[in-house]
Amino acid sequence: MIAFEHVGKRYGGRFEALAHLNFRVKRGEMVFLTGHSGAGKSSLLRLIMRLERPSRGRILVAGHDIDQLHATQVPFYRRQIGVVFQDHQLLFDRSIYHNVALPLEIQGMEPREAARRVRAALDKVGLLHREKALPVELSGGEQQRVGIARAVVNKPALLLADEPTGNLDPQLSADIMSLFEDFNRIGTTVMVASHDLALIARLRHRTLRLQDGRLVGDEEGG
Amino acid sequence: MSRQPQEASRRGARTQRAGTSGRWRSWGRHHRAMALDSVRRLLRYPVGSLLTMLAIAIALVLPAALWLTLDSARLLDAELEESATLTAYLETRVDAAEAGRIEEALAAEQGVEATRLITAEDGMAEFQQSLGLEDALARLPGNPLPASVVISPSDPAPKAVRRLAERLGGVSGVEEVRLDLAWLERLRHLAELGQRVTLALGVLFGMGVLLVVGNTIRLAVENRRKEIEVVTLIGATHQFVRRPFLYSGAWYGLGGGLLAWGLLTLGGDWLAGPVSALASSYGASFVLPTLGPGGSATLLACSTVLGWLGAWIAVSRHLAQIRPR
Repeated sequence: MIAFEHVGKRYGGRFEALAHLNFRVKRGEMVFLTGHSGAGKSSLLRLIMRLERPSRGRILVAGHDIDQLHATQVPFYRRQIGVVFQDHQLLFDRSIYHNVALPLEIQGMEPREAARRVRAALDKVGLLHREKALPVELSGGEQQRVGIARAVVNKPALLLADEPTGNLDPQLSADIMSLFEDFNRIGTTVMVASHDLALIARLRHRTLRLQDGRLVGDEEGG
Repeated sequence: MSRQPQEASRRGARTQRAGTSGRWRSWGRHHRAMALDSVRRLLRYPVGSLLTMLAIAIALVLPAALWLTLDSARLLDAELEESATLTAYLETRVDAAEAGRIEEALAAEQGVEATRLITAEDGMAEFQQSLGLEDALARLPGNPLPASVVISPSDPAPKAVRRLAERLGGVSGVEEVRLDLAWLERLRHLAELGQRVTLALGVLFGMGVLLVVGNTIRLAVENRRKEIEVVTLIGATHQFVRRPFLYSGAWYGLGGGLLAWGLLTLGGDWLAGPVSALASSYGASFVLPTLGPGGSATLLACSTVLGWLGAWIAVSRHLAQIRPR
């Protein structure tokens, strides 16, 4: 699903955020990405989302070199990836329902079908009863679950999450992670960046360890 | 991994089948939604929106009013052209009977629509009347004025009139043919000057409209920066992001155009009284021109397109700077 081949990323010509990355993630796999803050986890995810382009090397997603994508193709590429952000990236001027519906709206999905999918996604994260609420009325954990519902609402083949449990207490973090495991169980490839080592260790999935932009560990879980 | 291309192509086929008609429908749906949404946003800040539209209206009123004035000048010009006449002054030795024969000869010439003979006596009487110099003229020993024939040409175009004048000058008994086209031509040059000034002002004020709309939309984009970042992150195309702003711009333009139309109509009504009084004092029946359906449609179309274009420029310039973090 994802293949990094000798990928490096420099910012401003000097600072080397990532170097010599080589790894593959199989379809249907669940992978954790760990490392200290500044180790390059977010940069790596941004490369996969094609918010950044590698300074060297190739990144293949679903068999395509994403650096070759034309600017006009990038939006369509991004629609195939669900992303969960640490700061949720919700829109505060609209209801939970409309936040989750946003990706479908962008795709131009027929409203009745969209409503069905939005409700299914909200139901999955346990927030169907709050669909009319505004994001500010929700707790941090609930907001994060809305972010997850939005990421999975168009059933992406690949789900990325950047520190999804960053500001949550251990119990909520575990709940969020088990949601990701549920999605992985139905075939979604999941990649979660997190520095919550204790939680990761308990979950027993493959873990990629980054340090100063280099891959220093690749351990199979289980 | 080897299955992927195949799967990808299968997915491609499915999207294709969901198909053209579906895509058009969803495109139309988004247009409708954005058109309504942008109206709602305008209505949320009615005073601000109205001020923007008023600024656009004021920028449009001046060139539109000038254009209308020129249009009326053109009408006047046509009327004047119709009244373009030649005057053939006969030799002073010609007596009344011969003058009548010469008039007939002139009337028979090609390109002559109508003739009117002014005998020496008529001319004298008219002269006395118009100048109020009865006493002074009465003291003259004889009538120094020649008889003359006023000729209306069938083709009032200046070139044709000039050619006719040359030809009629050769008729025996005719001393000189006068045509006073100079002032007509002067008027025409003035009209052309006016047209160019109007065009230049129109372009300048049109750019003013672009700037007004552009600035308003720039602020709107800035206010919705977060939203733009988020939708870009989850796969919105530039067109999708641009669309609501383009509608806002078009609405601003349309609103401004309607206000400009209202101002022009009000201004026309306000000026109509004095203008008709002035015209009737000259014995003319001149009325201020109004926009009419064609003119109104042109005004509204121009303002809407200008609003749309201003928004397009502003959004495109700004979108390049907004990159999701």
